[in-house]
Amino acid sequence: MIHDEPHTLLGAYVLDALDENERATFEAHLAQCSSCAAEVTELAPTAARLADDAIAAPPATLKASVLSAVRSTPQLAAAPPTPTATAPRSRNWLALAAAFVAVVALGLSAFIYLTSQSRVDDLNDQIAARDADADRTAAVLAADDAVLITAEAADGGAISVVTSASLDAAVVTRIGMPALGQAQAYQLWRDVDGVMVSAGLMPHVSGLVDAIGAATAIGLSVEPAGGSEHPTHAVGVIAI
Amino acid sequence: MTRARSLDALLSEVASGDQSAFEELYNLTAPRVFGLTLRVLRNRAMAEEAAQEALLDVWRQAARFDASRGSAISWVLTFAHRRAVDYVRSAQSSADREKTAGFAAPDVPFDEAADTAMRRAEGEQVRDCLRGLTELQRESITLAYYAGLSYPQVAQKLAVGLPTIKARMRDGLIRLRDCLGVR
Repeated sequence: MIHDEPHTLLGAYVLDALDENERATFEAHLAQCSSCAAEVTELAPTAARLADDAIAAPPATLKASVLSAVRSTPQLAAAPPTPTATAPRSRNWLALAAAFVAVVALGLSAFIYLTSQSRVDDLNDQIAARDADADRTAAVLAADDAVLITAEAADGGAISVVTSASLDAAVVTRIGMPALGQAQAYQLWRDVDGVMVSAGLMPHVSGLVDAIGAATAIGLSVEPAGGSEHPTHAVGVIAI
Repeated sequence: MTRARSLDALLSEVASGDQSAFEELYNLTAPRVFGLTLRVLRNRAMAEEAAQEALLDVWRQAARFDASRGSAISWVLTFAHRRAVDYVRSAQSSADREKTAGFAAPDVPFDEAADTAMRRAEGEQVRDCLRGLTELQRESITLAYYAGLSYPQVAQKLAVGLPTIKARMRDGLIRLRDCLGVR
């Protein structure tokens, strides 16, 4: 049952004819069944060809609204690789969720990403990327006293900072800022009594800064890979 | 094929935040994206909204496109179809909940007359191939893909058991793939 039953749903899955629970179950199965994943990869473009017979001229308003929305919509980073793909430990929701996270993180296939709740948001992606900071990040974003500040970054894009005084932490997110090559890295800073103290590198689009109680501002800079002791190229300083 | 190749290239430029590449990608994909959401939703306002969300999904997630896992157009259309189906399902559930008959009433006939010339040409092969399926395979696939029905709804509509519908969706797609010659 565990192996055969989900497999029979493959066609319905490719046609988006499953409900959310079935979809999640099927994806947990896909993560462990490479022949199923291969068949999905093969049949998805077949389903997409059905759109050939649906072509219609879009209204001009669509283009205007999409292009304008794009200007203020941050992009997600490529899903980071994870060292291992873990099989679900038990057949419960947590296991399904873990399997889904593993699938997303592996970048198994574009089709598989979509099959999660199609509204997996940036936050969930970031949480998937770094479980070490995940609980704390989520707690800051959900805190009753959370305050959001955004500022333009020096090299384009913007920086958003969500602070929570009660949790003494901030979540910093880069919005539309350029991706750096291997030779450079983003680094976070706390301004403590006028001195910029490193708060660590920021390899993902979001980073957590602790002990903000002592800080008057949060900084973001571009540094040589590995980071610096003092900021050499600040792209933003946000007073908190 | 040229289109597929250039869409791949465009997507990687979009992934680096290139808005003009995105505009080009829009021009190449919007007739299919909007056409598909319109076909599923049969309501121009809802179709436009779903298409916008799908295209923003493409913008946001461009860095995650993996060409080794299928074509760019298929990846883009997956967002469009998923968004449209989400709308169908939430419209159904809110209609069930509120018993509002007028919610998002279709304002476009199922086989819309507009754009037929373009669609006739581009859709010819897929229509031919659909005709080559058994009736049950064809109905199962088109009710799910074009009308956004879940497989239990398809089964109910066709008065056929669930295992049969699941099987016809899968073997119908395999037959369609062989006929279309898509990889």
